[in-house]
Amino acid sequence: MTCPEERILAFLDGELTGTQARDFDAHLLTCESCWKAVQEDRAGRLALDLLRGAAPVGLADRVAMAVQLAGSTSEGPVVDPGIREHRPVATPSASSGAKRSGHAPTRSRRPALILAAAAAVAVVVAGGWWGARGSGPLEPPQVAAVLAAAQSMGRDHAPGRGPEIVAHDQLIAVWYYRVEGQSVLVATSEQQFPMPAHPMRLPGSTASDWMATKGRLGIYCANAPVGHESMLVVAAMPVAELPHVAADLHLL
Amino acid sequence: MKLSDSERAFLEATLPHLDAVHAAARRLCPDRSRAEDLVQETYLRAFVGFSDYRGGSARAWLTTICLNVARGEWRRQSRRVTEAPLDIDEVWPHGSGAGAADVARTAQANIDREAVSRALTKLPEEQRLAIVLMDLAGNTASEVAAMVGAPRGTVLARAHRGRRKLAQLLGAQGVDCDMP
Repeated sequence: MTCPEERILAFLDGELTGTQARDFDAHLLTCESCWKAVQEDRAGRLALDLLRGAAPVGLADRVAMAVQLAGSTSEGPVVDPGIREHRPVATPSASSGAKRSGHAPTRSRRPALILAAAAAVAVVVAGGWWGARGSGPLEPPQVAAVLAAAQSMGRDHAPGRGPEIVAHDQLIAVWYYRVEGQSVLVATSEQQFPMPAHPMRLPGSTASDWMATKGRLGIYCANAPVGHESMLVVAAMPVAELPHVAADLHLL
Repeated sequence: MKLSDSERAFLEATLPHLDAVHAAARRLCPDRSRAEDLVQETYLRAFVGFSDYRGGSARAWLTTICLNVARGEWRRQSRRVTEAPLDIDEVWPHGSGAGAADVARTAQANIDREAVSRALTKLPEEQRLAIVLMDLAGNTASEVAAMVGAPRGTVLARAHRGRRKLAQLLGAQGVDCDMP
């Protein structure tokens, strides 16, 4: 015998009156198909309990930061480089010629421009960068190699020089910093870092600069003309913070 | 950077529902990273439209935006998400801190979670959507009916049939659905 599904749904949804529910309970003792339907529904609900849980740590901060940037940008870009308080706990010595001389990278860019661009990222995001498509490969090998180094550095990596990486014939120097208790990886190269398939562009910055995220990692790329030093900054931070981090490390 | 009054009001009204929005996004996207992107996009669009928000369930409002953004992405990709790849962070969450005695139990729970996640992708789209929006995001049948443009009874039936199918799929794989 097949009973009406509506009655089972009403029972499961708690819509039956006390008398109706008691009658249906009694019916379940004798109706195999209704009993099976109720048991399977409950088993399905129990299984789905496994998929409920808290959002990842850091997502609330990321959302709040994006909203804050969107709000400040919509009211006119108000960027105060002094508002950030990134202070390297310890950094490698800073002087020029990172790749070959063994010194930490330095750059001479225009921080205000880059920081303003970081604020404008929110506008790009609101415009739908989620799912945006670039022309580059999903993850260029040079970027993948740097990300692999960043993913293995952990939260407490000691500041200092990291390994030299050669990826796709591009020589890349790696440096580790500590900023507000977070490990930050800075990769430099005399060749530009190619853009991945899902970049966030930086309005007001050079066309070759980009940002991206991978899992918990934010990636900020400041590409320089060929022959000058280009830079990737990677950390488990909201991506819009990374230009500020780079500026505070005197890399911009 | 100090929050403005509007930003604070928005975040206070919406951040309590972050878990629900993320639960929905995680099942509407093929991987964890894109799910987090979808959540951020949802909140940004909600923030832009917050002045037009007239009360009611903030969770249902956010879930509706999330669903619309995901649908837009599906249309752009001209394909539907049919299977969630194995997400290593989900199987072995960071910082779980399980001691040696808990490892087997944790491992079994994680394997079961992955099995449920995969079984969910096997359900017909309408049933899966009803389950994601009701059982995972916590919306009522009436709210989901408004989101998907179907009668409430239809939504209830889709969710019910989806749960039954899910239990049958998991039972066939030997996953114990009675575990707490």
